[in-house]
Amino acid sequence: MRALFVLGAVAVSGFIGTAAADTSESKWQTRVVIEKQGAHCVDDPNCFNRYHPDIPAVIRANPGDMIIYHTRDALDSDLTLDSNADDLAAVDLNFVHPMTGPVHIEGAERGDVIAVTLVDIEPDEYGYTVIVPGFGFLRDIYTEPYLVNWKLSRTHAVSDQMPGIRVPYEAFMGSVGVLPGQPEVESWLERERLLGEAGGVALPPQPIGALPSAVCGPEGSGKDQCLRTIPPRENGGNMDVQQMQIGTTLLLPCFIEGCGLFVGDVHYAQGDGEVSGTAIETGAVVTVTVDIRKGEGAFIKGPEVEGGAQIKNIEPSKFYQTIGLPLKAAGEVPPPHSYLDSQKIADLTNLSEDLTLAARDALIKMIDYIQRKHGLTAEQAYILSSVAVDLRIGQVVDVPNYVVTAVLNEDVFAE
Amino acid sequence: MCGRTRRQALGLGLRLGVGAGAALLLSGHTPYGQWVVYRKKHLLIGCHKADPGAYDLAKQVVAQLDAHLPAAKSRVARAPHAGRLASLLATAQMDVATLSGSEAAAMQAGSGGFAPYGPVALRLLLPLGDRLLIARADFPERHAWLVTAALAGTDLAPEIQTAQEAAVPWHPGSRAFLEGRPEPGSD
Repeated sequence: MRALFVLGAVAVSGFIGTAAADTSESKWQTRVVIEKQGAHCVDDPNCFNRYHPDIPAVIRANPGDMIIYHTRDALDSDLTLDSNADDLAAVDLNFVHPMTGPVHIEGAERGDVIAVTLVDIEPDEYGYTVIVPGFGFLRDIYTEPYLVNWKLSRTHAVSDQMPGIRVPYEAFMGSVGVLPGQPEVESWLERERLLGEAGGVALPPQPIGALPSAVCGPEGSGKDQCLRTIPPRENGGNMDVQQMQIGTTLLLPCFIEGCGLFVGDVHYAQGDGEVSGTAIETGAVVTVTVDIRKGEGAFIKGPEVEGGAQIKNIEPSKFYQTIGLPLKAAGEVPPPHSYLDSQKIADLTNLSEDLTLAARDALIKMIDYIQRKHGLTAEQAYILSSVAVDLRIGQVVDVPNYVVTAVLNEDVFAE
Repeated sequence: MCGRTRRQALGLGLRLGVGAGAALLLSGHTPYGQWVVYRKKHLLIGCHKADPGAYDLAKQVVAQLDAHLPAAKSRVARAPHAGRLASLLATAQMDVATLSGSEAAAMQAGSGGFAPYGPVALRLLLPLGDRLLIARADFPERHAWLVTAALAGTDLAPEIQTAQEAAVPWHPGSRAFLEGRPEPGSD
């Protein structure tokens, strides 16, 4: 018996010995890796959380290189599997969103378009979804902090706080973009300033907590012009579009030499709408490749996406759908309409051609369904809607009642 | 010892919530205007994970405030470390926290690990055993008076002397309560 074991061992050893010529030895890729350093963005020279053309590139890459970004979660948080709502209340939102990069793409210049193909996303083992008070689509209804901790794998996410739920892995880059040029900074700041003065939700530059501090911090050279990362803009950024799955190609206009490509804020899974304000948020290792399309900036003025079967692959095999109409109670002014300061809106029970109100109606009906049919609490249902319910436009013609539907992926309920 | 009984004072506490809201509206450094919605509704009691006992203490403070000053709608906010509390206090995203004496002194001075946040002007609301309940220096006098009134004389702070030395100066509102002076006017 022992002799047999030794013989087997020798045989295996001999097999391994020939492994020097196996496929792992043959290389062709050029890998450009931007690793995390330190616990948080402030500790990391490869991390920043504002947009400005003077933010220096941390590395250079050629078209065709495998560019590998080690990214942080959207809140640059210290949250863990045992965190609770008390921890959420102490999050410092000055640190949102930590981005990895920027990367100088050799040969790309203002007026070009870069085509960014998502090759892979390896998620961390932990992710979270939260209700942040004052944030999210139903912020007038869900006013208390709420936190769901998720255990992640390459197949699905589960949570002790969401028993019986398995959310499939459908990861994408919540934020991906390029640095703006100086004309864009000035134009975007001005339009957001005017919106803010009109009462809209527009965030002016905030030097406290801004990185890199040499450019965007309180003593930074561009402290009054560093754009916040919350709104997506023509340079991409925080788009939160779930169809940007692995294999799709994102087109981005280039505003500066080298473009300054950055990645962060990975979403393990998210419904169209991200209604609670967050998806399943996680850090990750993201691999992309880039090609340059010379001069196409003349036609492509903002982010656009090329894809294939990915858009079908994330569809549910079983669903439930609610139909939303632009209806509301008399006297009610939903938060997105409040800046218009309109008594007319307050008095009406039916708004005209209003997709926002129709979406709200569909979502509230869906949350009611999830509670009634599946026994979740209101907060759990809101969280589930954020990660597994898609808000979709039904039609924009049947005046006055445009339709938005809410589609629940019923596959998330474990058999 | 307290110049006014706790129960006498607590009857005045119901107005704190609105006042706290007004104070927190001054939190102009918060990046989300919307985030202020929560922080003007609730009096956050900060603590941090690196001091494990502080979490339980903060929860006890909240329980007492819920019982005796419900209009404050107090909530625990647990930061990962003391530096995060310094960041939140320095940028007016938080007003009140529990700290050790040495942490409070260092934060006030902006020294040691708190240097990146600069000096943070802090005032003492109450000593709670071997920790301090502190507030930003601009925490309104009336609010300090009411919070102190809600906690002084409870198991958390059974015997308080304003003469006792602390790592940071007393808040004038807390001192006013402990010296028996009436609730300050609306701020």
